Amino acid sequence: MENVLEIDDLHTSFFTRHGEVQAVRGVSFSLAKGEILGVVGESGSGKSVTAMSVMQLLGRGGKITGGSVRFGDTDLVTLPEEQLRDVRGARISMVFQDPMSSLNPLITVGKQVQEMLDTHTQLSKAEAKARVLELFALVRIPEPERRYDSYPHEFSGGMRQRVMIAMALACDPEVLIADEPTTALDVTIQDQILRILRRLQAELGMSVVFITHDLGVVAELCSRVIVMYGGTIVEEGTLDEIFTHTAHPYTLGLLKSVPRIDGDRGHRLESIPGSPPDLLDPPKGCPFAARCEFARNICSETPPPEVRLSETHTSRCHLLAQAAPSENNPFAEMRPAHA
Amino acid sequence: MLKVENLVKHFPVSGKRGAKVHAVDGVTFDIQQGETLGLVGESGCGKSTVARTVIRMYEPTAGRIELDGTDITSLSQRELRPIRPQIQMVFQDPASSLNSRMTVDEIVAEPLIAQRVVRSVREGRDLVREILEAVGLSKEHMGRYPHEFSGGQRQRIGIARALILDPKVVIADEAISALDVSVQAQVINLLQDFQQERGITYLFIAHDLAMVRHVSDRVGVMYLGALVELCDSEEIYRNPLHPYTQGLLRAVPIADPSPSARRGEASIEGDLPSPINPPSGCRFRTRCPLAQEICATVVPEMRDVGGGHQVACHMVA
Repeated sequence: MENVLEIDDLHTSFFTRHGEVQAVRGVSFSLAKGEILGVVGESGSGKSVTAMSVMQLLGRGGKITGGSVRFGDTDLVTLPEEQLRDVRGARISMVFQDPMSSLNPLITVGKQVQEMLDTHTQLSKAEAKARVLELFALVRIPEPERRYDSYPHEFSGGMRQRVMIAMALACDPEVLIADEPTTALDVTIQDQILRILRRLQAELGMSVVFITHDLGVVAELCSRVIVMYGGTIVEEGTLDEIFTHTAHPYTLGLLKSVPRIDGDRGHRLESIPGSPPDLLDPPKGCPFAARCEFARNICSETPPPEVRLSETHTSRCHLLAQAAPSENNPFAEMRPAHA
Repeated sequence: MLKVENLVKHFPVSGKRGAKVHAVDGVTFDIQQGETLGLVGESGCGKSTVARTVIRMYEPTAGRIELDGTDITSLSQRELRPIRPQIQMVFQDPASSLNSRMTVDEIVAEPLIAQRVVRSVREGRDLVREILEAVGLSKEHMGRYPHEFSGGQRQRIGIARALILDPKVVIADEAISALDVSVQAQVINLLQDFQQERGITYLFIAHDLAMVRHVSDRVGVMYLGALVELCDSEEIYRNPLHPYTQGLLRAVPIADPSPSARRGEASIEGDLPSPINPPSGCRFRTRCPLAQEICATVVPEMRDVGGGHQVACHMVA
């Protein structure tokens, strides 16, 4: 399958008065054409910073310190800002968690989406307006004609997020990056938005990077998953591999710590003790070692290598090494011969 | 232990004379000692207003609140003072509910001083240390400030503050919503351990239906200021009767990619109507797939359909 985006050994840091926060520490993955890739992780895992690095929207203090982001023939990391502007929002676009802070409260929603078209296309005013109405219909905003002249505050959170999606789709992007787009919404509204995204992806053939902390949303929407922790990718695989052939203790812990609506009650939730590492001074071994119930001496000493379990499944865990002991090792049976 | 009858809370709308936000409109429930009652519903359903009215942060517009046999509905703040230790609250955002200029021992000792159990932080030290250890923090943490802690640790401080007076009832209002998934389970387990040890009664309020179902003995579902269904936690998933509950359950994503976990049908269309002018009759009728004429004219009453399962819907036989 053709890759639309290839990220190789990305390092991104924020330079603060306390020192260098190494938010992304050597992340590599690719996005295939037409797939929905889920990126899962908790706050501070580096998932949003990875997305912001692709878009070069790091803000003050943020800097890519190494690696490349290949989009077609170009490396976005070295592309001059002027040319980046043609890519950003048009060929790669983004939807964020909080639509209210991304919309201008003084301009009607229709005009805001139309501005996108004015910037990136040669459409006439009338053509652009027609396109906006078409986009509103696409994201199921009722009565597009009337809603065109509404201001953001007249919209509910769910409707505003639809406007943001319409804006992101305005120029037929090849890649859509959605960063927790449904986290601030109620579940019934989240359900509506996920259905819209799934339908649009199938109809338009876009490639989507979907960033979330919610494993349920990943299972509903994505075909492949990346699990991030402490600025690194700890596991990558298909939905089935991540959920039923889990090969990293952090993924395992995440899956066990959320109760399922259809699950048994009465049992105790298995929590992960402790909290994520401080990336001002990242651990020298595995970032999860300090919280891992299976950790051995090597785990806090040496960063675990990437172990390939199938063509699509990789994990970074010392327990998968041939030499790792079998006792207290949930992955003893999974260890590949070559590792 | 806690009995709430026909609780009503309306808020005036600034600039619009006579207009009111119908935040809570006639909610009735009770909680037994040592029981956990969960309240779920989407934003604007009134669940947090119920919590804040029950502890009398808000004055109820109408209705009755009874705590351990005492009617506290119209007690003055002065009369409430000796009752306060019995009912405490844990808030959503530990960062904003802890005073950033106070050290941990000052924060946790504050209720002790307010209740005149002790006269100074120094005098309360032993009690503070004991409760901090119970929530998994050590005495080294006592002199630190809230910003030096992670979100999960801050919520532990909030829980220590709520529990130091040994309350009978604890209201947890979205107490874990701001926490990371892996930390949520730590806090939930902590709350459950305290319940086992001390027989605390919980009113657990959250929008996360799966978590509410996990921690609660019974679950109440709210929509636009009203309770629409109330039943055993097992029953709410196995046999939901109200169309809103059914839609809500269908909307919860399940962390399981197998085809058997997939649900085809869409959940609930449209947005929440305005609580300033809620729909006549059944408030859910504007989004309900089953709505008939009667739903627009007659307010459905909560009624027991057997085994303590209560539902307010004209379409349930």
